[in-house]
Amino acid sequence: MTDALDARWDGFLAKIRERFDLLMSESLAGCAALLAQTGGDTVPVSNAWQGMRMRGLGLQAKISDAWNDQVQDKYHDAEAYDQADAAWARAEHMIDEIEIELERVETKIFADALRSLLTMAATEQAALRCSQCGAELESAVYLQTVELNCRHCGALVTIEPGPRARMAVAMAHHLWREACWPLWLERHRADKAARDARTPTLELLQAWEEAEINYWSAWLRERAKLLPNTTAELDKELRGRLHQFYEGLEREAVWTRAGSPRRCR
Amino acid sequence: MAAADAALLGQGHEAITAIVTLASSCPAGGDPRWDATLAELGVEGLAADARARHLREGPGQRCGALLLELRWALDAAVAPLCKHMDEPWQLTNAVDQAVRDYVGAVRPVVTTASIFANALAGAASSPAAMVGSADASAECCRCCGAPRQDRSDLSCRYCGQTS
Repeated sequence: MTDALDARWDGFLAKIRERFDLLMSESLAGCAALLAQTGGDTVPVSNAWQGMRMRGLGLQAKISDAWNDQVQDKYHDAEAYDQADAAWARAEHMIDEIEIELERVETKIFADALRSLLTMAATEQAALRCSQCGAELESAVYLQTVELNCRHCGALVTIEPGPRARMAVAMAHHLWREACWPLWLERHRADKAARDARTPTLELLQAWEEAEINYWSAWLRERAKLLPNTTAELDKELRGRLHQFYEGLEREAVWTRAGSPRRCR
Repeated sequence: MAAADAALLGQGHEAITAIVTLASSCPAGGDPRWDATLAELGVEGLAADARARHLREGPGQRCGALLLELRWALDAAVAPLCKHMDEPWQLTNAVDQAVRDYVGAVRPVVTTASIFANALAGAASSPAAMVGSADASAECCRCCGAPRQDRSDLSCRYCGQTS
């Protein structure tokens, strides 16, 4: 009886996963096409992704809905409580996988969009000429307004990087997250482990803290690659990024009893 | 379960499978093969205009016989078997489950094309649409128009204009 229930439940989960994977591959292809069709406009891409994301969340919600409305009672009718726990654990695992995959795909869509925008911005900026003498300007991808002297006539030229470069900067956090993805995963797992524990231990909280510090340190270093002017205040930035996290830890008795042993002060 | 019940249950499942297979293979609303099956089972199908209304106003079907007619056909197929069973609920449950599965099987495929089409359609008219491009402009003296080379030098080297 419970074998049949398990098979039916696992079949349902596999079907949800299959539909979710299809949705995500359509999202990646569709958003890339949309970006090309609009000449690098990320607003429609963002709108389309929100629609796709909602579909993904809808599929995720079907898992707990089906469990609560139909499946759990069938296990309980058969007094198969351990199997019910195991079946729900498989579902929870998939719910978590979907949550992670939504983050990964969102990051990839916008990191890809950003790379496309940077390519478009580079093409656009390469065509710029000194408005005084018409000579080519120093070749680079400018992300902020800069002033430079024309190499030919010496005129002071102000370069406005254009909307694509500006948009690329606004979305750059996706690129940094993509570069730090393994650390984001570790942070997610440490966060989940601490939250799932009924009473988190100091070790769990410290592992979470370490994962937070590792992720944000790497994220800030990636940011400095694209925006070198942010390099100077990495430590201050890190403290800022971790402020909310530490505020949360102060509500954990085990943390405060240990004297709030912050690694980042 | 009594052996007789098991045999009848098996027959019932076979009948359900055969009817659902036929119903699924029909175009939306049924076809002559489906009508013939209904007649064999002694079921009076819906009139043509009622079928059209069900398709138009119902939950939506991309193919297959109508849900209501399928249920009537399945009920008619298992009713004679249920009469001879000690636990007929097993067959009636199987009918319910078959109809639920059928609903999922004939439901119109939900595509994501509309999401991208809407996003693209809204892009052109959006006030947030990306306009403009990169620009380079030389800083010129407001008096004589000569280029300036250094912002820290407040006076023009050609006409002496101070800005």
